[in-house]
Amino acid sequence: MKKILVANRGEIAVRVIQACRELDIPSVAIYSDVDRTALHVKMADEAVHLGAAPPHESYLNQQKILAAAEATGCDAVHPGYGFLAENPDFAKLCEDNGLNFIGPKSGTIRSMGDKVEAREMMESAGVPLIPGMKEPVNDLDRLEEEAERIGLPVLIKAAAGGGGKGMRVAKKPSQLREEAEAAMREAQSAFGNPTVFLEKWLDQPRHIEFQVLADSTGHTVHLFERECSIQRRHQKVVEETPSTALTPELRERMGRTAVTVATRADYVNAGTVEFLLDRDGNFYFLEMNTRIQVEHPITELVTGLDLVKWQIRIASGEPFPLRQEDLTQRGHAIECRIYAEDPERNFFPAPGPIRFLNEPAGPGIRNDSGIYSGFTVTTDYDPILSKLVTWGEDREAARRRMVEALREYAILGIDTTIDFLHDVMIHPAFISGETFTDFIQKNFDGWSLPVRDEYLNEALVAAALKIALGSSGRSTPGAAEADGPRMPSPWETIGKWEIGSGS
Amino acid sequence: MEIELIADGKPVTVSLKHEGDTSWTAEIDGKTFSLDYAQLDANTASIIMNNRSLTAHSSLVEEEMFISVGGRRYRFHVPMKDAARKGEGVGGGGAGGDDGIIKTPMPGLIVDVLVSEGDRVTSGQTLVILEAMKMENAVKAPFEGAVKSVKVSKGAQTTLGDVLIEIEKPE
Repeated sequence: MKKILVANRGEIAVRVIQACRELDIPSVAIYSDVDRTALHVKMADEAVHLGAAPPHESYLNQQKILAAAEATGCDAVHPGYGFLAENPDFAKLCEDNGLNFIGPKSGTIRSMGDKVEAREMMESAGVPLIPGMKEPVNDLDRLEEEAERIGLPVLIKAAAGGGGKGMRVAKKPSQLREEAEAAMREAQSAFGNPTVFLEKWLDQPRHIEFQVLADSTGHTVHLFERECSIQRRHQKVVEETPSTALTPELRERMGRTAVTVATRADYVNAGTVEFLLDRDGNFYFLEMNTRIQVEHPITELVTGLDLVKWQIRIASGEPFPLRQEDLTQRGHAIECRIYAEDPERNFFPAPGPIRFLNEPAGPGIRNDSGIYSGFTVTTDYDPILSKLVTWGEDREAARRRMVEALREYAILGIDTTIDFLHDVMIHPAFISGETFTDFIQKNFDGWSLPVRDEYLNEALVAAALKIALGSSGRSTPGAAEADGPRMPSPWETIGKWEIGSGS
Repeated sequence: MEIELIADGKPVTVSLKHEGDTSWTAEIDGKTFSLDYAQLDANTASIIMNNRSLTAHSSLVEEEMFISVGGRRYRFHVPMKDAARKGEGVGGGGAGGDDGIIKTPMPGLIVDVLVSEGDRVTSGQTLVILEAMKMENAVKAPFEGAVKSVKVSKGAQTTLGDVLIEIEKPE
């Protein structure tokens, strides 16, 4: 590979560019108007401006991306996750224009992206499925009939869905219409296709997914599971591996099924097979994600493999040298997703400028980040800021390390999920591994940011001193001023600010 | 010097006395603390208080003080003397006010308005569906009452702080 265009933004674009650098392959970033100074742009060797902030004018604009790849002499495209990562038309466009799409073949993306076709394909391969509708509809009367047949509660899912968009639960008959309408609207606006289908909703399931890796010779292995049961609005917020719910026997059985799914889909490159696991140890195929997952770092930490580099190496035609029996899980890893969201207000997005950033560091701590101090989080894209990942010899060591890392992590100026995640990590149900998909709903409904007495006086004093010293224009006696002019505190420059101006 | 802050809705006064060099005395609620304070950069200070050595990271934006100390993040309101700046919101403010004036918590598209003027609403009832950051968000009633006015309609683009709906508490 000569040069790779990274068709994404944020932390995943940064992650891919880092892998390119380590492989000594030049990388090209793309950016929209609001991302001129974004971290992925700063890190890439070259950067091409695409257009305005709305995704269809920039990160979803296939023609502009193709033109950028041609203009910069790229021979490969890495799509990251989201945006065009699972768009079969884009993969096809790359294939037709001689660009190496770093991912599976466009035909595989198409089959697996069509939830109905995927279900049929897997049913014929003997993979267990959840009871549900065979074809999607946008007819509310049909949905009511089907809901009655399957039995409530049901999950309403967009035919073209992903990432929790267009996904709703109806527990009572009275909720079905309202929830189905909302799901169809979301599906229409996110994917341009309003059709939805129903699926039996399982009580307290766990979300267990298996990472798979397949090279172009057809050699396919799984890299064990990730448990992603802790979700809000059907989006994952905490992931870990190994899962506390799997016995070695169940792990082997699910892993073998994941390899069957990948093989049946004619899969090449890194992918993920998602399952729901019920309390009785029954597992059901949900879907296959034909991209690198947000939560891939935890698999990297326990297997010692660099998945993004393997994506690139497999796309270059290199065979994957390890057999299934060569692969082992070592220790335990946990990932916490740091979002610009307000957990006190139902995880409402909280954009704004980051005034100060202090990232945790130390043994066993990894932070895949797309931000810096001074960066402004906009409302245009997914509000993920970074993924904090810790590794430990066992689950408790990884958990304790995560608690400390979250305490050290300061992102000031916007609301984030850091404090919420800290409280998740110290919750008795998490400590004992009782992680089901209703974890947040059950344990954190109405959670509010605690003003803890522990450091309240210290915080008040620090705040008061900052105000006192800032407003009087008097600098603190200390080391900082010896090095030159003191940085003005925001208090001193406050008169120049204007809310909403983006300054 | 006295500094007024609002913590968790309650006013707190911090009295500060400079004892020379990096030494300060602070008094909160009749309790006195001796401390060593050194500002390391615009957003970072070293505090040694009650033998606890801490790093405080802080940022003051408009009237909101964001502060991280001892692994916890605090947010205080700083009432400013300048009356002209009063009443301005800070990014990401709440949707449902105690006064019944429901504002947009962020810029977005009004996907649906589910209530009309004069409607009775219950606490937590969905009033408006707002799409922002690719997700639909339900804006809910903060308390039971009657819809006094509806200021937006389906399909409207809103900016931060626009009034959506006003609700009156029952007598």
